[in-house]
Amino acid sequence: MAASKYYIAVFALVVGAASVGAAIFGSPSFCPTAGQVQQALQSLQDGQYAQAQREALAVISSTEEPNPRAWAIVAAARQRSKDYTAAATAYRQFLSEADCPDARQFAIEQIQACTTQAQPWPEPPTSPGKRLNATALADLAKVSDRTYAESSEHFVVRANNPRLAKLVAVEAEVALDRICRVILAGQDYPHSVTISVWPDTKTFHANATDAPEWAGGGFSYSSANSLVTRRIDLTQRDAKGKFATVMLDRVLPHEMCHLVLKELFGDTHCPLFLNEGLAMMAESQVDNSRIRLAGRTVAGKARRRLETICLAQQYNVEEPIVFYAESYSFVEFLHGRLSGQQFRDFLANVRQGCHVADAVQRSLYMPAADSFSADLANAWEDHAIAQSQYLEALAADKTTAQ
Amino acid sequence: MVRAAFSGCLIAVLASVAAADKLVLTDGRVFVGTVSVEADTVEISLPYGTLRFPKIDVERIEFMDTPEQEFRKKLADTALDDPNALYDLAQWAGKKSLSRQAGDLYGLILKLSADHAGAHKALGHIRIGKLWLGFDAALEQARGKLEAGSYAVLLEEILPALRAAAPTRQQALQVMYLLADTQLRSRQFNHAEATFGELAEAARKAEPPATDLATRSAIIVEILHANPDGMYVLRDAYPPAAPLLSSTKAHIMPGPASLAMPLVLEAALRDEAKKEIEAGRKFLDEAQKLAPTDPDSANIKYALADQCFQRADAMIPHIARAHRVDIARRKIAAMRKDADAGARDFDEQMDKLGVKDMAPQAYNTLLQRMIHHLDSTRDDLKRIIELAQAYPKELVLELKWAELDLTKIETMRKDIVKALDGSK
Repeated sequence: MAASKYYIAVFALVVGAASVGAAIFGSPSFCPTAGQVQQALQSLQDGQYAQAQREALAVISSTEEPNPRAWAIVAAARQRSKDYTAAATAYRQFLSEADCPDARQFAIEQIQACTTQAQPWPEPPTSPGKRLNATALADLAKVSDRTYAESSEHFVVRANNPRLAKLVAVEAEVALDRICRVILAGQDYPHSVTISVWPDTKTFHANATDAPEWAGGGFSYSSANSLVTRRIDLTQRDAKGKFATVMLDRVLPHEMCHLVLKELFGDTHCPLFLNEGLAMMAESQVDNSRIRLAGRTVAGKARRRLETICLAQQYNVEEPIVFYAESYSFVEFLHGRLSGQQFRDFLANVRQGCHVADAVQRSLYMPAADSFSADLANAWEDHAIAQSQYLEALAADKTTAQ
Repeated sequence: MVRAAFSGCLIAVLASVAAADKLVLTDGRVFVGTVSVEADTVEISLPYGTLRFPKIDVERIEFMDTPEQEFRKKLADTALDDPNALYDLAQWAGKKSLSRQAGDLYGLILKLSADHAGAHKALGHIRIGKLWLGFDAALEQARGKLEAGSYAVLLEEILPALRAAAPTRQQALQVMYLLADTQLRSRQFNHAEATFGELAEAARKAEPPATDLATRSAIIVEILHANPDGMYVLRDAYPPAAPLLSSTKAHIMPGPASLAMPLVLEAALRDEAKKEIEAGRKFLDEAQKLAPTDPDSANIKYALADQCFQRADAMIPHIARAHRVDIARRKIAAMRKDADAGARDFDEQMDKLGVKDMAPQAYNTLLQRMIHHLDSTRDDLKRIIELAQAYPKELVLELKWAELDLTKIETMRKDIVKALDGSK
């Protein structure tokens, strides 16, 4: 009891020394509009966006103590009620008043997001192969005795067809931009790559000796005497002698993505699922069969654990087609759910040797949890199944309509 | 039956009662104890033994009532079925430092009158609703009330009572944190800022200092100071994994939200922790570059990184644990490298043992040098074990390898010492 009295005295002393504490930490700040701001935030939280706007605007326009920070509430209320143009205007007002760097960055991001949302939904990009008509396809299938060279910012293209060399240089730049800016979320690639387009499979294999027998393209990265050589080898024509559009649509961006990742990871091993998943994402058109296969496999009895997918190596992959589909599905899931910065951090963490779950948790700046691997696997499996079912439903609708 | 119970208890209470007479000697010495007068002598029983003096040396004896004796007399005059009378006596006993007797009486009072406020308060009980609870149970109840949003009753009744009853300084800090949190959740932002400020100071000055609590509270003060209207703008959804895992648990969307919501405060703290982690990672990168050429500077950078990570962990528990494991792992790798170099030297000397025809003196010197190498490696391994033991789950391999190597080294050392003793 005596001890208790002692601690009561200590407590009283501490509480009594409020003014001392305040002197050390500075006087507690008092905001006369705090009550109104809180009311507006409550309305926002409750989904009463019109009321939240009214309450926040009242704080802003108060003649006695205006609080311009309330523009953030107005902006969020407009954004959540899908009035993106007005939301962007409110975010600009907030930006002009914000004194904290994080709040400013948030406002800038939201202005960009609202501006994008306010635009009409963009047409999905058409793959290069689909933009070519019969004449162009016939023209691109021609093979000359001469080798033509075409160069662009990052590429030197050699082909036995001048039009093809030019087209490949253009499409290579488009693919590189998509890989670096969109897929790898702002990765630089200040290098030059040689692209050789060989007339047929035979000459391709004669020159691209590292490429597997079944492949129609390949990349190589070598360094000798401080000279780095980056090279992509492609095949111009298929077995029937026709121009292989798959080369432009899939093989070129796929191999280029491997090359960029090789550069990014350096001597560190890039996990197979990530390397192949990203390369498949780089292809200029989504292959829905992969999404359906991944969903079916995940929902079926033969599903493999995410852990197995993440640790797979080239030599121990069972059922490669399924593995590739699952890798694509998982990487696309991560890419879609993480922000650009988070995905870039994730890649950096993998590069430093982190396991996938650890790399994700670090990129999210969250405490490591034992259950995270299982939670991640469950979330991905749900996503894979939902995506697959969505495509199946679309296909069923089409069949019914026919 | 009640009276019988009282009697039993009171016998226990009175068993400890002892007399305290004062014996004053002619030479001025004074003793306080139980005095008994015999034919020619006076005997006094003291806590450390019994003294006997001739009557001639005794100037006077003062027979006095001790507090215990006085208590016994008062108890005899008190109605044992009157809780208020017993309470008065218990209060008196408390003032006379008879805390055990007072405590026993309070217990008796509560048997007579289970709701006796005075007795409950004297025993450090806190009233929550209709219940009187001990401190820990009351603190738990108070936390429950906070989650239930019963802020008024907390601020007006429960927390002041808990404040007054906190038996230890650590518990007083817990009550203060609860108070600050309640003020925050009830949107009293300026009061919360002041209380968190006081808490940061009190936690820093506590013995031992509650460093994490002090750091966390100080950061909350900064957050509240920067956002006096209680509005915080979240850049990302919180918890951060919610969008990835399609979590069905409650989460906060990016945008403005009230700091009165615990998740929003957590998000604000996580943003501050993130800055610390980023700063720590920069130190870590610098350390990695320095490590091969300048290990001392690298260690300074590691220490700076660790400070940042500790601060981050104080804001959000374990948020930087993985990075702290990285530091331990890198330090272990560097020590392993040293240990491997030592092992190579050792092997070279071992090879010399087998092939060279040596003089006994040179042989002994070589053995001593080998023992020195083993001792140095053993020290490295012990440091590795110490580092790895802080993260036994993450550094299980490092720990196991070091333990196995240490066992091997101890065995080898024994063999070499034996050989050295044999050669002498």
